Amino acid sequence: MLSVSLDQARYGCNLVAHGVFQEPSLYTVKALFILDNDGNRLLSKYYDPELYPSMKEQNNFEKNVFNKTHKADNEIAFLEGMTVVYKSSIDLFFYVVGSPQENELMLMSVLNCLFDSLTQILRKNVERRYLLENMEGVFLVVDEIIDGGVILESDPQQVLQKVNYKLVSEQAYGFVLFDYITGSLEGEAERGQLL
Amino acid sequence: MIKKFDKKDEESGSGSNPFQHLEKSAVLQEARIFNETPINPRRCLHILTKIIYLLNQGEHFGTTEATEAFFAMTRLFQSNDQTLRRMCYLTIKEMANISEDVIIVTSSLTKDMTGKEDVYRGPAIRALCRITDTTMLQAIERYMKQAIVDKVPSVSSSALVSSLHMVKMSYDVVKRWVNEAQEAASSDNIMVQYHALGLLYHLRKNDRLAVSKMLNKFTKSGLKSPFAYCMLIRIASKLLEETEGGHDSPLFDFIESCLRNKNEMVVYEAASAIVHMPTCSARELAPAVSVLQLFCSSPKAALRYAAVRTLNKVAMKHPSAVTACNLDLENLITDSNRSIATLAITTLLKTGSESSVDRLMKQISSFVSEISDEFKVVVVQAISSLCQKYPRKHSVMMNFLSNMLRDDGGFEYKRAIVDCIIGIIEENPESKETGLAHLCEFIEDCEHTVLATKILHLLGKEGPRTPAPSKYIRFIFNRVVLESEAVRAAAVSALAKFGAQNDDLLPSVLVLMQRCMMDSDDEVRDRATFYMNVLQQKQKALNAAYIFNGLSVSVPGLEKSLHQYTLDPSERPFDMKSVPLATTPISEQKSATSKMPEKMAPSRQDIYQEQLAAILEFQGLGPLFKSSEAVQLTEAETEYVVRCVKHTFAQHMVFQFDCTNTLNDQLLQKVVVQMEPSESYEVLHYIPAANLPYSQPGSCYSLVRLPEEDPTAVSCTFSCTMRYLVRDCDPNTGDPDDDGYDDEYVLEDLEVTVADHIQKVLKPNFGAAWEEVGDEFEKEETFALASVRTLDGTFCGPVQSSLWTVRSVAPFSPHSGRYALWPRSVLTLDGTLCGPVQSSLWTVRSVAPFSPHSGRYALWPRSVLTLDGTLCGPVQSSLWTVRSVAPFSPHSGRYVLWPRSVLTLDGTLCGPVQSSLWTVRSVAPFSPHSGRYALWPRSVLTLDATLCGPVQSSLWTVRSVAPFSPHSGRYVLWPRSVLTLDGTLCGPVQSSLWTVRSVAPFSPHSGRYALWPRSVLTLDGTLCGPVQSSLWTVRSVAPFSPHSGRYALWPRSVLTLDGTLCGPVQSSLWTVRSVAPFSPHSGRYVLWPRSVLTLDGTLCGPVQSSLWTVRSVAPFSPHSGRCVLWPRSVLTLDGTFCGPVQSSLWTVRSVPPFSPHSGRYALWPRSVLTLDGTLCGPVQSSLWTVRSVAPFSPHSGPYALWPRSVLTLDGTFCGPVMLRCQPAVTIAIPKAAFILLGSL
Repeated sequence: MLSVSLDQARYGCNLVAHGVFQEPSLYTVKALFILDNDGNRLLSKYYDPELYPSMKEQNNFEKNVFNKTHKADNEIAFLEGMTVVYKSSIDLFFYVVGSPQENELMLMSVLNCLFDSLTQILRKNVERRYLLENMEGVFLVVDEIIDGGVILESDPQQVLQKVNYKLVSEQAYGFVLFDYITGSLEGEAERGQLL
Repeated sequence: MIKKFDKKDEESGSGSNPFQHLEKSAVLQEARIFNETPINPRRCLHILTKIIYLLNQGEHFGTTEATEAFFAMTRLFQSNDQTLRRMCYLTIKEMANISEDVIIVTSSLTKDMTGKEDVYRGPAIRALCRITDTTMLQAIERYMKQAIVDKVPSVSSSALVSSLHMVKMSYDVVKRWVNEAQEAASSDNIMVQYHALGLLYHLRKNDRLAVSKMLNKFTKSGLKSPFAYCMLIRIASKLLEETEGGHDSPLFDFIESCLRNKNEMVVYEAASAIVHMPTCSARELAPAVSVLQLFCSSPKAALRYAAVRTLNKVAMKHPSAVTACNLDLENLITDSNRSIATLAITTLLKTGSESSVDRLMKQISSFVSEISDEFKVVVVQAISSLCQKYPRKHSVMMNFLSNMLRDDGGFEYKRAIVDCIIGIIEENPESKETGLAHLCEFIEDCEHTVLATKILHLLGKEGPRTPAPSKYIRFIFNRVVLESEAVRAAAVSALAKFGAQNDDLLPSVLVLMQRCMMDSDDEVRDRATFYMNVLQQKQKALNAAYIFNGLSVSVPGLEKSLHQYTLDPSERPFDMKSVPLATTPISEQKSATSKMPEKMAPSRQDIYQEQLAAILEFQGLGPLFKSSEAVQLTEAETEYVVRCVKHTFAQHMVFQFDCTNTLNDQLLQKVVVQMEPSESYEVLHYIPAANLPYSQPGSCYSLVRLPEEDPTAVSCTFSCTMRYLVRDCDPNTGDPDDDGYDDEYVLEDLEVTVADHIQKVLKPNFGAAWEEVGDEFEKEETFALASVRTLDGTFCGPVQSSLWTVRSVAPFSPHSGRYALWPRSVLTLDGTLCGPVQSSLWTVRSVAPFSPHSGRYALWPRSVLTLDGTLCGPVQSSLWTVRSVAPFSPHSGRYVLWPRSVLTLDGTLCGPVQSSLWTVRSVAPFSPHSGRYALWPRSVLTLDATLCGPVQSSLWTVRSVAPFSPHSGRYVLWPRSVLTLDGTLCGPVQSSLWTVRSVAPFSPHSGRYALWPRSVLTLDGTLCGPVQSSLWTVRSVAPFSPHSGRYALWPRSVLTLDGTLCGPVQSSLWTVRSVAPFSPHSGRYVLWPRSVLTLDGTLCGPVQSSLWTVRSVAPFSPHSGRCVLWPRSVLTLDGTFCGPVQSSLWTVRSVPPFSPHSGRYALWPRSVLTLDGTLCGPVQSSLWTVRSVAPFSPHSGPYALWPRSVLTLDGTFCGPVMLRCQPAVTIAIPKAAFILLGSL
């Protein structure tokens, strides 16, 4: 009953009431997550501790958002009282969540920055396999774009420059395998230095 | 190892995930590799990634294992691998809350933060601040200050954002960095600017003056960052709201100016801010709405969504402001994004006309199942408000709602539907039966207890009064059999109401009650027994008191009283009368229920009661009966501001004086308001306010005893004087002088009236309560209503001796009541009542909708005053109709937009006009207050032949017909003027036929926005004697976009006069003037250039030898000139020029339209075409250039919609053009021409 009334209060104020002023704040992004095409979480960040504090609630939210969005590429949706902007690429889904009062275009600029940065880091192979292979790069990119809900950077070029990340390329993969087979740890250490 | 795993997995299938089967323990085991020397960055990196991935998946790490891994990780700081180091920072941040002793990395991070590697510095700062607490913060304060002003943007940004995070934790420390933040705000980097602004605001937000100064500075300096602009807009609108700043405030100007920003984000933010301002009139909204309208056709879904969502909000308050966007919204109702489509439809439902409702409802029902519950609620709310607007549509709505009710949906959704249906039932008595039937059907299978009980309550209330109450009994009793306890109890109560109101049903109800008395639940049994006994008494008073009208006490008050009673048990039974009565009016209940937690907050009266009970002298007065609203005893701007609240007790009254001292050089002490009663009231006590410093309100009280001997002496007037001790003090420090002097200040008189002794009681069933009172209290009286305007003196006589009936029927729904804003008051004076007016029927109906609460939505009162002929003595032989359909808002007059007054005087009335029929109709829309939105006056002037002596033999018609768009009629802003002069009239033109036709322009592709008539001027041969031998063509070609055709707005007129024509013009005087439409009042929307074309004979002379001037003068607004949007294009071909033209010096310049303010709407690229003689040389034998210049907006690009094609054919050139018109000959173009075009 209580949860119902709280929900209601939230939706009520979101959709019905107007003149509800938002406290001016830099805390723009409530959450950001990347899901695969089964709706599984690959990366997710919740910046507002009051929004879905438990893992179970987060998973529910992500499942709900995924179910409502993965069929049609509509770019924007309003779910569970939150504005969700999203984008998909092959087998990946990128989501940025903001409060219902938030400027949708700001959220879009975050999403676009995330997507463009990852596109470049992954050399245009924005798919699950490459994303997972370069997970550290993805973590770093997200870290450079948003800090605790504040947009830190929205220009993909700047993000790339700050992350300064080198792709684990196909070639390197061969080298590593070779190093592994020959057991040449030295070679590997050297490569690590180079990277 | 990992990579190998990858490979294998990949081969096995597409679902590969190197992190899928990670075991926490295995990863932690692997983490031991951190301790190996030398460090292997690659493997360590991968392990860190795994740890972070696991944390991200929600894997729980125990404190010990996390701490262990954390400490191992700290060793990795020895490696210089960049990515590894960065991942260490991430790990620190992720583990900051899980691991212990994370502060051990402080020194490493401090080193990185101040080191030379810029790549490390920013992230290091952020990681460091994540693990720093208030005490530690002091230690790094120096570094933070340096970092904030660092010239590397990433360092500065990181420091600013981290500071912002720490404001919550240690405000006092971060506050000291305000100067550094100030310096950073002037950085060139856009993100640094944004972050600095954010931090500055968070540090200063409690100091309104500082915020105001800051805004002032930044709005002037002009920031680069769009994010910072958005932030500034938010701050500005918040400040505007707090200070209740008007729309003349510079802050508002700033927000409005942002509507012309280059960046869509900023434009949207500004529009949204304007829309959300609580007191925004349609005028202020207009620019915001028009940018939102542009966004509606954006290819970006997010932008369309944002725009339509904001428009939806506007539509709630100002539906008329959004009607301008209806066409754009229509386009969106088929949008593939269902959220956008839903919002568009609901907006249209609010703004559209009654006729479009059916179509929209059909459209929305086609996909209502696809949209989320949140939006379904929006749809229901739109329907609910629609029902109030168009009550006749209730059957369509009811049908739709009942279908929705049958579909699946959550509680919120169902509740919204039920509320909506209940609302409709209350508004429209004729829909009651169908509505109740739908609801009955719904509770047959309703999983929501709250809704079932609500509907049962409604059935109990409404059912007995329907023609066939018995049919509801079955539905109700079904609930008793099938449902849970709460529903059963509600069903029993509903049954009792049927029994109490319908005598013929009573026996059956009693039988059913009997069965309910066997129920397994206590509450149900108790209710049944209670009602059974009450009903058996068959007494109306009992029924009214115990069945229809429940408790009317305030629930928090009851709770408190009961609690008090249990704490302090006494022999006496609990007295219900000691509980304060509920003061919330029914209409506010709805808003209260939507905020459940707030409803339980103590009411205003409860607060007063507590305050008063704390004062010793007032103990023992008994419970507080009533507290009045505050009465002002001084003017608002005086030295001391005093307000009084009257508290009524059983035998006493307490006057609470809230005093405020507005003099900053005085301290008042021992403030008392002395009262002199006019009646036998007795002042018992004064309780002074000890100190009253500058601007801090204080209260003093007076206790008065009501006269005991005369209980009817309820009203009294008190003369009040405030007495106090003044001590002068220093305005700056507030330190008072040692000694002061007594002074007094006379206040306005305070009145105690009957109203102070009367408490409003809620009677849900008014009819039953009325009956309960009985006949002996009924009294009939006659009132003369002075506030009714009468027409002229002769009428007033009879009205005076008449009896008026004033009925005020407030249509509001206690349940859904939200949109019920307009009490409708019907005033009827029927003929028989008005002695002298007996033979006439005179009806005054004032259906003035106004909101009793805020008056804000009171938009369209309509008052129709009809006086038929027989009534109007002096006008007896005539028919005189005065109709004033003037919409005005009685409160603020703000939304008074289009009064239309039609004044008709028929012939017999107008002596001088007797033999003629003369009709003057002025349908001039104007606002009597500001005249601002007076946009399209249409004036039709008809003078028939007999009237116009001089014109007798002729038929002369001047018609000015307002332009309309054949499609929607929406953008029809410009009157088309048709000028017809038939032969007989125009002496000089007698032998000729002259036709001026103005044809509405259209876009060949979509035709949609083709708004401007193209005027074709044809002068046939017989008219233009002199022109007979010539060909003369004036063509005005409407610009259109070949792509979308949508924004083709401004026709360009091409005037071609071939040489041979000019000859004959010599002897004639010829003037063609097309004058653009303008608004006589404000001129603001005067958008259309006026083009004056003058070719006078004497002028033409030189034209031969060629002086020819065609001037197209841009439109301008005579008042502000603000909306002057179209640049003026001057085409000059002067004689001396023309010479060379022959030998070819020819300049055609077309200067694009631009907005002088921001240039944003400057949509047309400028193309300058210059062909100087020397150039032409090579092209002489063939210069024909057709260029289609695709218009683009230099700023936003996407709105560049209009290609312009310039076609120039000068005489000498035409020869070759003919050849080039043939596609085959195009090949034969001289090479030189290509080179030339390329260089252009």
